[in-house]
Amino acid sequence: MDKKSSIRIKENFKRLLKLMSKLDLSPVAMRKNILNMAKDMKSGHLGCALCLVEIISVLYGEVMNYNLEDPDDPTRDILALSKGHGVMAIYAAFFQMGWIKPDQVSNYLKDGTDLFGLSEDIVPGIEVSGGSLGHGLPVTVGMALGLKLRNSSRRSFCIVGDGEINEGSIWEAILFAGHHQLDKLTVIIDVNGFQAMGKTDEIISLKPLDKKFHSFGFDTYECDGNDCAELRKAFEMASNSNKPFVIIANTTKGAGIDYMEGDNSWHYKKMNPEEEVAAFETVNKGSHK
Amino acid sequence: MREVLSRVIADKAQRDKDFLLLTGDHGYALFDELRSRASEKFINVGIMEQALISMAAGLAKVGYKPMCYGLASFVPIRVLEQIKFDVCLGKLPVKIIGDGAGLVYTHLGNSHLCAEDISALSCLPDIEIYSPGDKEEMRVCFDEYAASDNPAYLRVGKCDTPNINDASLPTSLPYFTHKTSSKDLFISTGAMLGVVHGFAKEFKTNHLSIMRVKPLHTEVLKMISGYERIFFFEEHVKRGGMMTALIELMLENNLPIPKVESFHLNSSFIHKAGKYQFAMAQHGISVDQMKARLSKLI
Repeated sequence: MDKKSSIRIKENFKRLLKLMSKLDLSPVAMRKNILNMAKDMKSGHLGCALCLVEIISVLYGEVMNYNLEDPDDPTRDILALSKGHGVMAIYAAFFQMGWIKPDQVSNYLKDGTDLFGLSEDIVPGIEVSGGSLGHGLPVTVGMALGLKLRNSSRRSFCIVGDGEINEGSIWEAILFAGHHQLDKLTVIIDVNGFQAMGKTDEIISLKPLDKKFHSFGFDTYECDGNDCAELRKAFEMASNSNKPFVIIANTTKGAGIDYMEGDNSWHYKKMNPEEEVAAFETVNKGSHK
Repeated sequence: MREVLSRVIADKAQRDKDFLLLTGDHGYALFDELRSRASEKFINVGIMEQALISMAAGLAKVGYKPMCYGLASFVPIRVLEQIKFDVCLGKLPVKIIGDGAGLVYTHLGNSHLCAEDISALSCLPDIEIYSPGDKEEMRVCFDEYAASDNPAYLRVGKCDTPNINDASLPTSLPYFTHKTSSKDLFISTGAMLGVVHGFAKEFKTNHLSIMRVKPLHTEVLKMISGYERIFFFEEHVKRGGMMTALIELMLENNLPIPKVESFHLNSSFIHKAGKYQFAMAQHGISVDQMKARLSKLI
């Protein structure tokens, strides 16, 4: 590499570091973004997004390698949201990162706009379409396989819902990733305890999840998925593992908005004006760990 | 035809550093040549068709050119949604081979029969469909199918059928295997090629072979104009197959529809075991049945 190129790369890196240091990916900022997207009766799926906030915050804020100026940078790490219903948490981070503009928040889901209510990869930065459950993880496993075949250091992360792992295709992917020891794959299971129609324990019990994944050749770590410190530790362990890794992230559906927490009706419901006010008040108090 | 398929896959694997062949634990002998010439390009993912297609989409996203092999009753039928959502939505260059399409696996029964693959895939955006009928058609179809930047499906039907083409075909454009002054036109796709070519000679009519079913080459409209009757032959159900695609194209172009006779599989299961021609007879299109019907019509 010539001297000029080397200087240019260093300058770019410094500029990016400066940009990154200004980023506010705090759970409070992200929750406000989610509320701004959903308010005025624009969207439901609040419960599905709110429980993911700390996971997304730590991933984009501290763990993943990506280029703020180019979502398609060929050296980036991959984050796939297999449970596409939580996409507002990703959009919330993208807004902070400048990948989504203010009008895309205020006009969310209005006619002729670009952002769908479930994750689709036509949006820059969304790696994998995930609205149909059971697709995102096998696609991510294919990406992780391809990167491993090329001896790439790029890592692949995939967020899967605990309800979503009812799907057989998820277990096909887990079986494959374990057998092929895709060591740069980290699966995060958002264990919020609910799926669309009720409690996961009552519909299809998944316990014990850690033993299931161990038996498929994964390293596992269980933590509070709404606690940034615990998540940091989990991602550090994943980074140091020489096996595919699963983080069993115990979250609260609707986390951060007191009246939504643990109430599965917020899977679907939209906020009325009074509920909007109450939600913003709760977030402004800031209760994240 | 299978030897050609086996060879062109191995050629592609050696030529293209990004190529990968993924199978769901099917096609053992078919991949002997690939495994001996480029074993690193061959991945048996296991018996998991859903993940086969989704992982291929993931591989395509990081720059590979994956080709997925399965039996047509499973790939594409079992995994239609994976093809739609993971492959077609992103318009990814994932290639799919559905082997044993039609009634090839009659001896195994209904689980392994596939009469509806063209119809099912035709509804999906952006996917190309190729349906070769002999060795040369396989070669030319594979070349275009593998080179395409779109999702594409290669329908592999019965392979021990007569070889019609001695000379090279330039492209997958429809072509006449037999031409007369008759006002009747036989049109076939896929495995019906040899049988229908024989019928055309016997009944002194014209025979056109269509290899690329989706999108149809629009040149076909000129080729079929002026005929009073068109006889369609395909080892596939009538609805959504080559015949309905061509009639749809004629309607879109405001062309008159001539009198049509169709030789298709019924939308039904088979109820008795037996060999291939016995199964075709259950659908009313064994060679003898088709010949008898043509004798009455012409």
